[in-house]
Amino acid sequence: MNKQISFLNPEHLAPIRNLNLRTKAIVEGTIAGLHKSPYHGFSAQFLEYRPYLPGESTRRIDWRKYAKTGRSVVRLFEDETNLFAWILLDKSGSMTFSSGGPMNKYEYARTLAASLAWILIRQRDAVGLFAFDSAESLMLPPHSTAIHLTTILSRLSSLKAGGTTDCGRSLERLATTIGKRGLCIVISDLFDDPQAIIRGLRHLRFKRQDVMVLWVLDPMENQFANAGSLDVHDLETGGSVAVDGLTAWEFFTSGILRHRKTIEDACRSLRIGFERVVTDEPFQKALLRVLQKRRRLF
Amino acid sequence: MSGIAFVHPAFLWGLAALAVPLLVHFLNRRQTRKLDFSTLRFFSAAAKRTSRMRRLRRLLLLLARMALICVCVAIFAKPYITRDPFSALRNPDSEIFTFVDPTVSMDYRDRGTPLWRTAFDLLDTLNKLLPPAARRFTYNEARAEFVQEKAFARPPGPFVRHGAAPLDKMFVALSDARGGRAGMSLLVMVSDFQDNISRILDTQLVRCGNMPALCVSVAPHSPWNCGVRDAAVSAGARSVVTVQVSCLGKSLDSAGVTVTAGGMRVGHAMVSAKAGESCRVPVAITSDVQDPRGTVLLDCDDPFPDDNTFYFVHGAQQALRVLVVGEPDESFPVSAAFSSLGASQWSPVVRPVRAVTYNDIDSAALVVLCGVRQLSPPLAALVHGPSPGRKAILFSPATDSASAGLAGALLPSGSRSALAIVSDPTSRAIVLPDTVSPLFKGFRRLKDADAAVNRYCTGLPGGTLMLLDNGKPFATHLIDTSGNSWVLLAAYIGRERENVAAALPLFTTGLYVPLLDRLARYALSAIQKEPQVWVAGVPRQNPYFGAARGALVFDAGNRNISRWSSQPQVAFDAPGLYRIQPDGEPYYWVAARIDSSETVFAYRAPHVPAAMASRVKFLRADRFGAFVAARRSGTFSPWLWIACALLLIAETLLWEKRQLPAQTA
Repeated sequence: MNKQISFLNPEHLAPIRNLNLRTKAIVEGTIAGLHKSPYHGFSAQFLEYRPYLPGESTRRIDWRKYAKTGRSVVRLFEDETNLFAWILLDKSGSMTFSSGGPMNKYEYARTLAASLAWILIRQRDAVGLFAFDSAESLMLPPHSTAIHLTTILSRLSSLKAGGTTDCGRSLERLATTIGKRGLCIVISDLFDDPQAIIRGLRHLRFKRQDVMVLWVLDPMENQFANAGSLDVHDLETGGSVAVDGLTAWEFFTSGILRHRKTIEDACRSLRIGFERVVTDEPFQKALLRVLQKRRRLF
Repeated sequence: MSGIAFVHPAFLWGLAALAVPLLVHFLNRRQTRKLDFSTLRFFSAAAKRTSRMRRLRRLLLLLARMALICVCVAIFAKPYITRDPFSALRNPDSEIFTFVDPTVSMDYRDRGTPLWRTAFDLLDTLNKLLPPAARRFTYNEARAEFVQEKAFARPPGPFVRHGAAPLDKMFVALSDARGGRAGMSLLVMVSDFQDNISRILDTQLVRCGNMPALCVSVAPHSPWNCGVRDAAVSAGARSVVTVQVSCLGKSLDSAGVTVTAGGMRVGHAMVSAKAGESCRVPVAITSDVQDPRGTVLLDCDDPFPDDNTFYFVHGAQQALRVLVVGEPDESFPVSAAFSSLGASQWSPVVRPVRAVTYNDIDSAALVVLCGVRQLSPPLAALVHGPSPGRKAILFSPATDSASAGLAGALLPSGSRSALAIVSDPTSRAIVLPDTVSPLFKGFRRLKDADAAVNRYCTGLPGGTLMLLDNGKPFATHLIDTSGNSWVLLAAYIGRERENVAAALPLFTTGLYVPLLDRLARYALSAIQKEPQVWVAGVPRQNPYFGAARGALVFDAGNRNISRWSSQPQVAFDAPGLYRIQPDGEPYYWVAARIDSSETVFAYRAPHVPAAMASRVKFLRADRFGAFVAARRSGTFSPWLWIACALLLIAETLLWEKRQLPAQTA
């Protein structure tokens, strides 16, 4: 029963170009590692059996089937959709930054979005996708069908990052279009004016949305360490500044801490989940943290 | 002379390493790394500061690194200020002159080690600390010059000797050795700096001129010494020897005093004395001692045993040489009178005026001018000219008719008197003005019949010693401008040339011999020539100089050690008893004692003239090594190390860190 969970690191998944396959590997590994499943199927209509996985509650094992066949299986039921979830993916130029790891922030965020969509649709929730930069570029309304998942995955696969960041306005724009209560998962590096971002988040909350923010950072952004003279080029605007490594470290470290604190404080006051995800950590870990946080918050 | 020099200038080649930080600086300027980053949001303020700060930081870092290299080079090269008077201790081209005090006080054993050995140990230390190329000179007393040596070597055997420190010769030799060169030089004098040495240096240090001097004192911290200062057979009773025992710094508890005569132990006593006291100890000796040689031995274990033995001679006195100037047939009563007083007392010699030489005058303690009518050049020099040494002169003018008017010219210079010869038909008796005066104490009372004169001189200068019964001075005394002690008689003491009808010629009376003895001793006492003491190592006038004869000198072991003949001055090398054997005369003994000034152990630093205060340093031995070592390490060594540490800190602070501290967002 104590099967050791092996996490899939981004460098292992990076060679898998097919987002569908990559997502499936992540999601199945993640669900297998959950000690308590966050989604419960209590529908009266039986759907199918599936093998029992270590970590699941033993209450759902079909003991009769076990007595007949000697195999531990879990019964799955057809559940009704009861949640409308939006995945808000930042696809601005800053998300393409990578300090040399196997995946840049956008790739990581896209995989994370696909995994979440998969999980949500697997538990019969309706999932919509909203990919944004300074101008809206993709908006798929929520549905809970399997075909919709395929659509999301294919659109995510073809979606390219670029443009400048306007996170706050994008959130507000989405908030104006959402009518039904649901869940919004924002996946972004949040390199925008923090007050604008907070305004957008507040607007989403006003529209009775449960909001979770996944702050995606590259390891270098998480822990800046560059000595010597630097000529820093902005991936979004193309501008550059010449800075001294030590000075840059001082300013970046203090600046990003201040930035995080501002947003995190606002999230706490708005009852918004805030999670920092670094692109060098395994997807399962990141997903588990997100799911556990989601269970605690809502 | 002012400026900076280096102990090890070869290390200055290390300044070539200054090129390294310069190279690093210019290479780093071009190394700007391009970094594509997600946002410039947090770098805009950094960029403003960077342009200024980076340039300033790099410049400061360059300066700090260059200064660090300079400081490191300086630490090894050891800079010093050449204005420092003792910079010769660092300079490889310097000349170091050393002088170790050879006086007997350096034989004091401080904690068992003689001071002179400590002095050479210090020079060994100096030898190791000096730059190898520095030239080392040691004063060689036998050659009276500074001798260049590879190292300050300690001579084999005992180093000290009796006698005064040869400071005068040393300064002359120092001047000769330097030869007017202006190079860096230093005189290192190692001594105990007893008061007698320091007293000489008080006036002689100026002879160093511009040369710095390092006076290193090896004087013991708490000296103590016991010794015999004096011993004499009590007057009138030869059965007691009075010994003076002194204690310095420590009390003496029941020490034995032994008196020997001629090698035989003749008396013994015990003595105790408190610290700082001096006591006289009477030692009873056997009464039938005939040997004049006496030795007193203090049985005491002290750090300076040289003065625990005292030598003396009793019953024997060296004869004083009397030069009687006058015609032999007229002045023979004078020489006969002095001869009759004993060969051990007086040694007269008669010379006619024209036969008197300078040597005759130099060798005589007393000159008797007996009826001299004219002066030869040596006599003229004695009477009127500058005199080489103070003499006692007994002047007796001729009172015959041929000498009338001449006697005044014979008086000493500065007296400005004129003698007039008086022929008195009445015989004049000699009277004493004061029978209790020191001069005539114990002299028998004169009677009228004792002596009478008919012809005499008036106008004698000086203070009256004796009178004639008519109130005219018969004997007067004066000290002339040359320091000679004159006793002037109004009457003639020789045999009259003319057949004068004298009532009672002086030389025929019983007064004659004791009168001459008293007057001669009075003249000698006025210039303090009477008691003479031989001190080991201290030269004295050769008693046989110019006497056309000599004497052999034997030590206590009867070994002939020298001959006194024509040398002006003679000396004994060590304290002891010496036998003097004059040619054709009986021998006599003399005792040479240790110089008492060497045994008092009073130490002080010499007074340094204000103008020389910066160039003369007085140090105790225990600080000498540190003083020299401090000079060897350069003037700025502590400051250089501090600067090095500060620059290293600055380097660390200014250095662009390659490993920035980890802090996650």
